[in-house]
Amino acid sequence: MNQKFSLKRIGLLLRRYFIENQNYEIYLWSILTIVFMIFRNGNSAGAILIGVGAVYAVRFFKVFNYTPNGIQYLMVPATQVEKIISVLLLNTVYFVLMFSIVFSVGNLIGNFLEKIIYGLSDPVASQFFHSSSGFEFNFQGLKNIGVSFGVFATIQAIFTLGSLYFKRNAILKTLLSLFVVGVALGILEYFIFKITIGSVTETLNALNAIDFVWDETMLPETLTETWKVYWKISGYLFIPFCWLVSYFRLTEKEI
Amino acid sequence: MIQIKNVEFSYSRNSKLFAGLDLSLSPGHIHGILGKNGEGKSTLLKMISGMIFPQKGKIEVLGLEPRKRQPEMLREIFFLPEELPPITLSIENYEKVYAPFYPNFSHEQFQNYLQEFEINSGKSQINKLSYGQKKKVFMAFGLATNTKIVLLDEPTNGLDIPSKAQFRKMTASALEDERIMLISTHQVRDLDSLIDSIIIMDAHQLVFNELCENITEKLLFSYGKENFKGEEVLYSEENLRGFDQVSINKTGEESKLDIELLFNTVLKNRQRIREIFSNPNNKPF
Repeated sequence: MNQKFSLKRIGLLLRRYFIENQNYEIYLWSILTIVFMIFRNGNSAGAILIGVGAVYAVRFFKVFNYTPNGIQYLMVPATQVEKIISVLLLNTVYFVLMFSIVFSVGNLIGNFLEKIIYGLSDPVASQFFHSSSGFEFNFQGLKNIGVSFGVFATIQAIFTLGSLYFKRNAILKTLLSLFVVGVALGILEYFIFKITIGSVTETLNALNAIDFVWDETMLPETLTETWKVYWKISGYLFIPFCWLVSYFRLTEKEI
Repeated sequence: MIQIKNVEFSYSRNSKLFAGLDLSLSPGHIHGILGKNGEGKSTLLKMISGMIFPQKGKIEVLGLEPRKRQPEMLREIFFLPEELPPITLSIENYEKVYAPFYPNFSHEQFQNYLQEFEINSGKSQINKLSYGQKKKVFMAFGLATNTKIVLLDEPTNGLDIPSKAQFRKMTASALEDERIMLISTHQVRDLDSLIDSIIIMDAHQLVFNELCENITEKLLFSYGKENFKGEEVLYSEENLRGFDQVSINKTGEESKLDIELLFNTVLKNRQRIREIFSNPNNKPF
């Protein structure tokens, strides 16, 4: 067997996950099916995807909270790349796929039950459930899940990294870190405005003004262009960056 | 097979756990690492398995660097830590999940070992077993993996008296020419008649590393009412039976090795023991 990379070993890692977590998986997807039977509004699907996805992601490296679990995981004969890929497949590809299936199934069952209980066009039920009438497939909801995918994948990558970085309370600590990074970026933005526009007060007044409209000409053209390129590149690279850091963190992990 | 050269390791900046640690372990032996609590026995096992990395020096296991945790190495190491992971799987499912990672795993051996340990139902959830039973399941699995290296950290902790005997029997039967077994313990009596190589750690240093046959060749273990003051007695312990003593074996007489006595002797007479065992001709005194 190839020592650097083996699909067979990834398969074994996935199998290991499903056998070890079969109860968790059954409960999670059953609960979500029930949730989507009731809340068939496509808009909430995106938010649920991101929230539940973050909790799901954090679980993977929870093994390091307890030394014997960590030893058991690190001693599994597979490369660190294979271990990271198996986690990536589970909490991104598999999760979104299962989420979409559960959303669709929940919707179909919900619509069907609604039809039986309230009849085809009960206005109260329709308003409460925000549902489509009859057996219509909720494509809008699925579209919303698709639209949220970018944010979801980013959150997954951040929380996976957080779970590897922090030994305990990974969710809280990751959220706190995000808050700190947010504040740091805010301060950075403050100074950028101060340097480029000159007066911070003026800038803030302008930003707070009711009729404020963002005008790119407020900033020098070269800076705007650089900024745009920077954000575009960062957007594309941020997710793989988080996964790469997670990989290095895993290779350097000591128990 | 396991080479440790000039290794340095510390958990904190202030105190070094190991400095200039050298150790070479060859296959075909059951090596026992003995030492008081906190001497670094578990740390040494963790370093060999790649769970922690030395700050300086080099470790080679099967020609590979443990810190890389390559599958080639991991599939040839079974490490049983003192504390066991809480596994929510049944024994059957545990085998189903982990056995495919070990190419030489034998289902028959696993079943035999479980039977020997009187663990009957493969459907029992591992987490619901007692600590001792859990340990037996992991030990049975570890021996059935047929890995080249087996690392056991305090394996007899939590085992009842009959189980300790079963453990010794099974471990001895699982030893092969190509296999290294490294057992760390501070309960030296549990390893009596099992280990054939003794490594003693004291003050975070490896102070003794000898095969049992060399030990009894050079040291005489005597038990009786008499206190042999004429011999060069290295260590003497009074008990209800009289005196247990360790002296230099000048006549080549055979005696039964008492690991606990040896341990105390080494700790009390480090320098003299070093001199005795560094005798270049490796002959009895």
